[in-house]
Amino acid sequence: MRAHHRHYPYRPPRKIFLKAPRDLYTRFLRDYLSPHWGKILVAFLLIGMNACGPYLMAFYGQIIVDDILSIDTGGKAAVITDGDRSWAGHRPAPASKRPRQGLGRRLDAAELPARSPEAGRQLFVMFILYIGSIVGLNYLARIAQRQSIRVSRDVALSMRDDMHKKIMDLSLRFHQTTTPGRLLSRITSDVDVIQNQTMQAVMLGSRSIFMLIIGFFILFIIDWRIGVAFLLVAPVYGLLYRHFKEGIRFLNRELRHTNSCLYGLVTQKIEGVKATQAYGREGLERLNLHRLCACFLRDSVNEQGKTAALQSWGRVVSGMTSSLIFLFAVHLVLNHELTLGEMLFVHGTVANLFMPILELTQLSIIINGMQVTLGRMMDVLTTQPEIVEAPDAKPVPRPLTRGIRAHDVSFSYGEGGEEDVLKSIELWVPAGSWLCLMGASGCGKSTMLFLLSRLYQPRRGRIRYDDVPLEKISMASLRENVGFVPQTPQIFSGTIRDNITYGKPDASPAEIMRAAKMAEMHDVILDMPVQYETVVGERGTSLSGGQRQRLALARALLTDPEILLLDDCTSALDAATEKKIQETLAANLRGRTAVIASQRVSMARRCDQIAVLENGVISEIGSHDQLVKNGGFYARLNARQTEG
Amino acid sequence: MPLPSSDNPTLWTFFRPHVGKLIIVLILTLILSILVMLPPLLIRAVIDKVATEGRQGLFLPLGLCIAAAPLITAFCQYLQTLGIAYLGQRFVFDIRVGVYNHLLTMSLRFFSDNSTGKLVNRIMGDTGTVQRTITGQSIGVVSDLACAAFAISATFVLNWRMAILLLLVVIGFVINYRLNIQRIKKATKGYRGAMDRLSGGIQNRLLANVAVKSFGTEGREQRLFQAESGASIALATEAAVTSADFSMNSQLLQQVGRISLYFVGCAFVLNGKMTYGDVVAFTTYTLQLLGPAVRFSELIRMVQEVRIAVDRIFDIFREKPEITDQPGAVHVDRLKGEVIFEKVQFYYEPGHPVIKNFSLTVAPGQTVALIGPTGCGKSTILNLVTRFYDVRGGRLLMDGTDIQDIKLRSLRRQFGIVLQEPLLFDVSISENIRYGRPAATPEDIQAAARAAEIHEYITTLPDGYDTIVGSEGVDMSLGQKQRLTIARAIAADPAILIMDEATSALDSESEAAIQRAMNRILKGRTSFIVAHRLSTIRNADVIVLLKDGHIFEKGNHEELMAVDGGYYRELYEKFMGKGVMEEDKA
Repeated sequence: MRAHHRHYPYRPPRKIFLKAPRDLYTRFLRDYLSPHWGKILVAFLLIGMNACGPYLMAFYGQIIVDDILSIDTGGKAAVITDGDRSWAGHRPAPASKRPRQGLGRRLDAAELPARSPEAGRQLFVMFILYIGSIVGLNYLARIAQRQSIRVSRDVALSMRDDMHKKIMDLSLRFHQTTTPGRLLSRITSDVDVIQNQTMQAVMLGSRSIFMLIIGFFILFIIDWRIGVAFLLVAPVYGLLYRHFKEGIRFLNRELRHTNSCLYGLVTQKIEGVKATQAYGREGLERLNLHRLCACFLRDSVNEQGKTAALQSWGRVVSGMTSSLIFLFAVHLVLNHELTLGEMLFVHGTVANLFMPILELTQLSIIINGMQVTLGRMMDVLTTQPEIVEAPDAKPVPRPLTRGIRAHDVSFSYGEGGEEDVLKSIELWVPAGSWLCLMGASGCGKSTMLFLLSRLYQPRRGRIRYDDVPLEKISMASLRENVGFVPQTPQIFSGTIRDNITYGKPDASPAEIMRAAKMAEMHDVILDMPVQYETVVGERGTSLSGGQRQRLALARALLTDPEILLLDDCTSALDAATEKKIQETLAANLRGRTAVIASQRVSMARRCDQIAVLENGVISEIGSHDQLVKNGGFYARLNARQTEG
Repeated sequence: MPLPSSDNPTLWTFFRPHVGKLIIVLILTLILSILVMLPPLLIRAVIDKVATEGRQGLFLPLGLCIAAAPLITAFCQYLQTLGIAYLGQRFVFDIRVGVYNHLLTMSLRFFSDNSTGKLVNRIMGDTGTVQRTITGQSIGVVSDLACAAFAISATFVLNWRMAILLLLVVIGFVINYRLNIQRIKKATKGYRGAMDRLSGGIQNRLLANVAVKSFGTEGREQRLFQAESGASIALATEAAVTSADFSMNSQLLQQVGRISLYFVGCAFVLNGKMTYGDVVAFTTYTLQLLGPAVRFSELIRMVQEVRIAVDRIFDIFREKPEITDQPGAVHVDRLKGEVIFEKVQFYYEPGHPVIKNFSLTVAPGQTVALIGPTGCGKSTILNLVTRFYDVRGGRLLMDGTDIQDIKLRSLRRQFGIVLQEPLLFDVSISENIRYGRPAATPEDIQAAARAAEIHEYITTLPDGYDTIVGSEGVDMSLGQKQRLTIARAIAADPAILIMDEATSALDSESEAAIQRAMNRILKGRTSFIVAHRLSTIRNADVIVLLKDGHIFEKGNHEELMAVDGGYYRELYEKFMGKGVMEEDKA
């Protein structure tokens, strides 16, 4: 039902995927299944053959009844089937009336059972045949199962790979609009779901298709009227399925969405637990989770209800059809048109034939579910990275001879429509000089640095390193030569050493220590229990803000970049340390080109140029002395910071 | 919500509220099992009475019964499925909410010891496994039990020799189970562990994606991921192969057993010791006994999986919150704000003291500025005042009461907190501001936003105060987020204000504006500020200079400046020109 509403905090409306489902499956088939078509085919055939075991058994049963035991009449249904799975409703399980006397009572004028004297030997031969086919089929199915496990493993592996790679490749814009928790659930649990569903689809598909074809064949051979009757019933299933499909699919989508929202919610709340506890809002958080979980509960009970309804209707149809066919067959036996063995064979076949039809509906539900999950995954996989490498990409000019130039650069974070964050920026940073970007928070300093490091792409305008446009520079060379230190330091769980050597894993201990010393981090590290091998937790929570910033700085310095982009990266440091860092940077990085966003006049004074950004435009630019004279934003800032 | 509130919940705690409904479903299942036994009896009657004895008059009524049976059965099955679905979902719902609620009571130490990815996996992944098994598997159990019981008694009535043979086959099942279960268990556990590591790794990369991008290490991260992913999938395959083998063994045993019995039966028929009808009946019952046996062993495998998942979930329940209400803790309404530190000591790890013998008396309404070099313990003091951590020695008194004797909830209500890193949630701006005081009116919210100098910005947003914050919502700068958390603290109207003075990300102009607002809200409130702005420091009633975990110098600005050769004076003179002295979080 769509009756209850689903608008809760932390559950934004579900994205509607516009991709046609057919495209999804074609992509999935082409990219992930087709490399394994051989294995899939083998699994398909073998599992299908194993599935026809019940018919074989019913056939053996008929031979035994009619030819060996020569029971041509009597009140027993000698149907041996294997239909014991998932179809508890209608096992062909006729109970015996246990005739204690009068074995072989006759229906018509037949004489005593003409039992062959060879019967014992024949029975033994049949037994051997029987067991042989069972063991053979089992062995084949085993092989097939392994195949399909392997295939689904490979599919999962390559899907996960692709998803992760895609996510790594996607630009910053994507990451800033997507919750990590949700992406995580796509890589882990969605792929798990796809893996299981692929395997189930192969198993169910092959089984039901084989059983259907062979079953029909048997029915038509024994009596064409029964075959036709059965053919007439099949479309009823189609109608039933159509009726329920939309609702189930809708609920499935909502369910997966709620699930990923739950992941997002829980992740965020665990990270923000300090705020929750500090304000004592555990109650509210309980309510938030409770609401989402309840939404999930309602939808999944609904979904299961619908699925159960579909299956129950299916059972009604199949149960009634097989009863009617049975009664019809009895009628034929009464008219001497069928032998008892044949009748029982028909009955067994019909009973077994409904199982694959039920399984087909199940299969379509599975495929339906797959569509939802696939849609979510393909949504990630088909997102185009905004920033791609040009085919004729060149390396960063090193040494930089002329400098960095930004020409008419405009940028906005949204899809367009809203006001630009940066408007027609013109900047020139001569090679070897330092530029300080200043301005109120939200004025676009960080954005400018993102653009200069090509983590974002300008909406209009062009940035050049010397003469080379930024978009013509190879990513590898850009990342190697440009050291970017973000405002919020990003720490990986791992050792201090891992964190420093992140950009240059093969750095020697001497280099590492040099970088740490330049960032004034070395002494701090030496105070730690195992120094450079100290493990820092996720997000570096065991470090102080200042330590994290210095670690991030050391990481950038280690790579010895030609161009340095620092985003207010010493803000959490005490003044003494900050001053020391400024001095070391000045001593060691003179001659390198740097753009530094800062709030501090002390930093600005060390730079050759200072640019003040206000409302996305450069309102002032020049040296410290010039700007102080200017009497604008910078002069006010200078006055405030120096007066104390 | 009948949520289990027991201190040490077990699975039973979560089952208990649903026992009534469970019993109804079980009864339904029993009825169903009997219904399932009916059609074969009807069919037999048709064969015997109608086909064999030629009593054509019975054909119509019996035929109607046969045709009607599926209708009733299907209806019962529908009800049963719904019942089970609801129970399974509800059960897991309770566990999920329970784990989450438990997590909310855990202390900070727990969260720094356990990665977010791991905890999320427990709450979401493991509970999901439990739910799938319950809804998927539990229906079969009861009907299987009923069928099996019926089948066992029937086989013994029919032919005890063959019944014993049948029991041998069942023993085969048990052996098969014993042989495989340990391997399956191990593989499953290994797989879940590998998934934990995999999730942790992805989480790590996603959180630090700016670093990944700016160093261009996507390729390396991809290889790391592939290694983790390969390891987890290898374990998953092992688990899948082991259980596939196991179920194929069961299937083979079932079929071979049934066929052997069928042929032994046929041999008895040839000898005239049994009728063919007996054989058919026997094989049918064999099916009803062995079918459940196959499912049971599958079920046991599932149960293993669930047990592992449940273990991992209850691991969290077994973790006890470190900081809890003492027996006899008192509720406080609103503190005046007197805070006394008595020889307070603290360490995160034994042997590494962070705070040593810290004594300080803060009168109500005083502003305390904590200054000192990086790592000197300033933020630790804040964590002690808010009781995120408990003191390891000495006492911390508020209005004369040891804070460990104050009910935690009422204690936390006293604070307004602004941290260095803004913790905002993905809800509307007004919800975020209201977070500390749910009863705040729209006017209160606006007033707080104005005081934090964020009102102007909010009104420029298309949805104003209803704008959703966070990854799916509006993109805010760090400074704007920080001002929102300040607005949140202001709106909470706290007795004690805690600020890890986080103005580094603020531009100087709004910093100055916030300064004005702060002066207003600091008035009449005890405040602890890890300060770096000289103006804050100078205006503070008490300036505490911390060094290596103890108080190095203490006093107000004038007093400290009067100390000749004092450290504070030296610092102050040095940073006069900068406007800012320091800020750090220990």
